[in-house]
Amino acid sequence: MSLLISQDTVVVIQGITGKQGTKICEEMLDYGASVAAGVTPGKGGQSLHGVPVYNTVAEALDKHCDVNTSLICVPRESTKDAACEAIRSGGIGLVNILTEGMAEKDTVVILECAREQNVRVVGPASVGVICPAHRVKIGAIGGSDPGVFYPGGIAIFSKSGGMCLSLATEIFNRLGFGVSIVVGIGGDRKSVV
Amino acid sequence: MEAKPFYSLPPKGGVDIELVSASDQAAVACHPVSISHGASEEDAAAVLTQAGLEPSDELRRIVLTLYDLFLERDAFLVEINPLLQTADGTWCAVDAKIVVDDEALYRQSDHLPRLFGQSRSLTYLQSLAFQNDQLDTRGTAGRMFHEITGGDIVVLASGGGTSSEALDSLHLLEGHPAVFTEYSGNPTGEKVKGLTKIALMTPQPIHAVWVIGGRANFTDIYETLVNGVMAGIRETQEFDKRIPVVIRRAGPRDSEAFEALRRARELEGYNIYLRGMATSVLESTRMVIYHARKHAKKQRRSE
Repeated sequence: MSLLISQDTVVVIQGITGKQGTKICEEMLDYGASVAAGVTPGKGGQSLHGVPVYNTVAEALDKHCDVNTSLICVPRESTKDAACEAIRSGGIGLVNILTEGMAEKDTVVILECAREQNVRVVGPASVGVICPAHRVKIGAIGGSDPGVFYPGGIAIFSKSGGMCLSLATEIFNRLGFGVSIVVGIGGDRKSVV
Repeated sequence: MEAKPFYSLPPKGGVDIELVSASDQAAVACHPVSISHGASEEDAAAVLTQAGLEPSDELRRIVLTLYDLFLERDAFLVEINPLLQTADGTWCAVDAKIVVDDEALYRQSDHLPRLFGQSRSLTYLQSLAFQNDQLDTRGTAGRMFHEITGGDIVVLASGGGTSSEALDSLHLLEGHPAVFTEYSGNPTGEKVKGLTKIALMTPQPIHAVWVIGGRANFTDIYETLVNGVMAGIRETQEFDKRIPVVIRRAGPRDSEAFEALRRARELEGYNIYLRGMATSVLESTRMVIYHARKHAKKQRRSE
């Protein structure tokens, strides 16, 4: 049972046309996650791995009303605006921020905005969230080989992305336990879940 | 926990106000500010009144200016201490300091070149590593760089969790790092190469290089190990190929990377030890310490 993500998780990737966004989109789709839309201002109308790209989150939500989660893969200079756009969209309940090296002031603005709108935030600098029982993941967690996460009963929360993967593989290889959910909180001082 | 900027005003002045505030909340006026809405005249009046001061126009202006500076300069702290009132009623900032968020320097350094130079006491290698990290925004390579006197192992660690585990293990088994630095978040090979060259510039005699990390989620292992670490070693002309390079790493393109490193060992004569996740961090620590001591012993004999 996972409160953060489930089989009902439908994702919009903000920054989908960037190097990181494109790669993560493919990895998420390969794993079985539902990526309904991407957003990159000025690149609306394109399509990546079969996922339509829009100029704004509002446009994406207009066409895909089942989207409930946003993954932010944009440069740090644009992360605050991208995250607040998702938070204020009215249709998104969870925002996962991959971006590293954000100014703390920008993070505080995002968190205050999320609190006001009652939206959950995981990150910044989060490697992502994975739920192997439902074969759902958001973000870069597990890279192109998320099959190393086996379903089970242990939840892992770690600020370190590498530790998320190492701990999950370690407890499975040595003890035979799988995981219910693994959450990369992010290593920034203000990273949250 | 709420993350908000706040005013802190101890009417009696003093130092270590955070500690005073923790033990005696009444001694320090604290007032949070909404970062979305900004500091208002009401906020300024509230903190001054809470501290027992008359919220005069001049004091409110000082309080609000501090907040503007805090926001404009991406500060963690803007402090005036002490703030004095002279006999004729004039308020004077006798001393002040500002601590700027390192992560915001990319948009603040133009405003702070003189202050930046004066306020940080970096070593030569640390400043090179810091500049290397600023080459581009992809990943980090050199943001954290420590030189430890008396050490003989150059540690290039990846990922916050594994880095901490590696340092603990090294301490536990009495290994001694000469340089401890970190790269993570899929930096370019160029950045990791630069960092490796800087780390190898340490004036201390090196007896091992330890590249330690877990299984990467998205860091390209070929790019960082082959175009990064190995390229940096190759470009360091004074690097003695007999120095052991102990690597423990896995992740995207690790097979290609390990193949290239095996070739560097077989064809170029580098003393490389390659391990994946089957080797624990502790086992890798034992390995690097063993090889470092062996190299040191051989070197002493040859002298």
